[in-house]
Amino acid sequence: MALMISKEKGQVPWVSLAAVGVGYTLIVFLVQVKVIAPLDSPHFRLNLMVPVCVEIASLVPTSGALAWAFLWGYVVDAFSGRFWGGHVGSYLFAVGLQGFAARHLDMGRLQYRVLVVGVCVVAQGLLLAGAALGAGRLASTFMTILAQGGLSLLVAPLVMVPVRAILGVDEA
Amino acid sequence: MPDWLRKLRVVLFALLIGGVFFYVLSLSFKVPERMDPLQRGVVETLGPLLRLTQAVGNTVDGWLKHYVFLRQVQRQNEMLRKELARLESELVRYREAFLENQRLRRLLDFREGLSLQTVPARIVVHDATGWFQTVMIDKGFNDGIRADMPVVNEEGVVGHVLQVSDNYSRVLLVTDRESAVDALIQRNRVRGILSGRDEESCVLRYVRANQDVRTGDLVVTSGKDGIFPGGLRLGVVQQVSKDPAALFQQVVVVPVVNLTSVEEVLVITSSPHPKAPLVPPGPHVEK
Repeated sequence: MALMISKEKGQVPWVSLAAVGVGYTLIVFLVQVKVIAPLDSPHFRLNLMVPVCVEIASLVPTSGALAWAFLWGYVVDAFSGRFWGGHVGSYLFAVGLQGFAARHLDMGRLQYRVLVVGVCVVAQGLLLAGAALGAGRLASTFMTILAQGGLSLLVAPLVMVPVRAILGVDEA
Repeated sequence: MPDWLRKLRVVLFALLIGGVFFYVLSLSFKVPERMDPLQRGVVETLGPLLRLTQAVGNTVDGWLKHYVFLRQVQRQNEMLRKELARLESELVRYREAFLENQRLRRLLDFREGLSLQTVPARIVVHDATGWFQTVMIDKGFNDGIRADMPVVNEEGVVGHVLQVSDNYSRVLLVTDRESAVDALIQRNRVRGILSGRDEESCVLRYVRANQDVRTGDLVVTSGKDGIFPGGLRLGVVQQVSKDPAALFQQVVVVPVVNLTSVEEVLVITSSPHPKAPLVPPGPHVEK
């Protein structure tokens, strides 16, 4: 978790952190809003912010990851329907799951982090679909949520790798 | 060389030069129809060679010219391609502007016919994750927009304002599950509440099982919910299913507005009041 700090011998690289936490995340958010969300098929409407969240949670201290989850969860919630708090909650869940997984697995490996992204996307899909469509229609959207989760496994590395590149952390 | 010849060589050389000179000079005085044998011999011998040389020269010249020409053509081609790309992108822009102009003209016509105060707005962004049926518009509190104001376009009802910021507002689309519009079937005034079902359809709730609802019926606002003026188009009945044991029938309605592609809307800022239907009564619309 504190990989960044140990690498820099106690010096926190604020510029790189800001570049990821604000600049890169903003780009991903714009891609999410302008490219992914308007796609016709709901199966392809991934949440690209989740991979960023998991990657940040794996690299920066928990407090930083939680701050990111609150900030960007709030931003996404502001542009997502009437259900305020859904994205904040799901990003916090992602940070928590990443922390939990890090105690049992070698999260330096990309495969494990991608797996965490898939689980988070499915959990978030269930939460948001339940809120948006109602629990009664959750079953009918389950395949969509699973498809989003599956597709996230493929797309997540593309979103995650630049985070490490910007922070100057080598892949394990 | 003999001595006598050596002595006379200067004289002989002078005679030869003089002869040639006089011969050439004589050519200027008489113009025979045919060349003399010497000239003919020279011309006929060298003529083909010269012709060949000229042909080769022409060919080489042609090649060079073609090469230069092709280089020019290539440059021109590149220039024309760039020009074409520029014009094509300009054409796309013009086409976009033309389509936008048409949309805005229709919206303006609709606005003038609406006889209500409206504020035109542009949709900035649809829902960020695609799960909720909401959009953001670029008009807010500073433009006179308030919560619960109806949002329409020339095709029909889009939704209503859910929350406002200073310069932006969140609009709840009619396809959202939480949306509820007091509606009626235009043909026979059967009332119900139109709620969202999924991103492409709505459901008309609380329509009693014994009431006559048919596929293709036009559903319009009743004007009795305190939000929407009466007579605005909402959608067309797509499917009617009746359960003998149920009190209400299930009526699926497809919105008349294509909510996934709508770009410009009107927010009705004057308070609604019951008035004559905006859609003239007529035969039900088949879709």
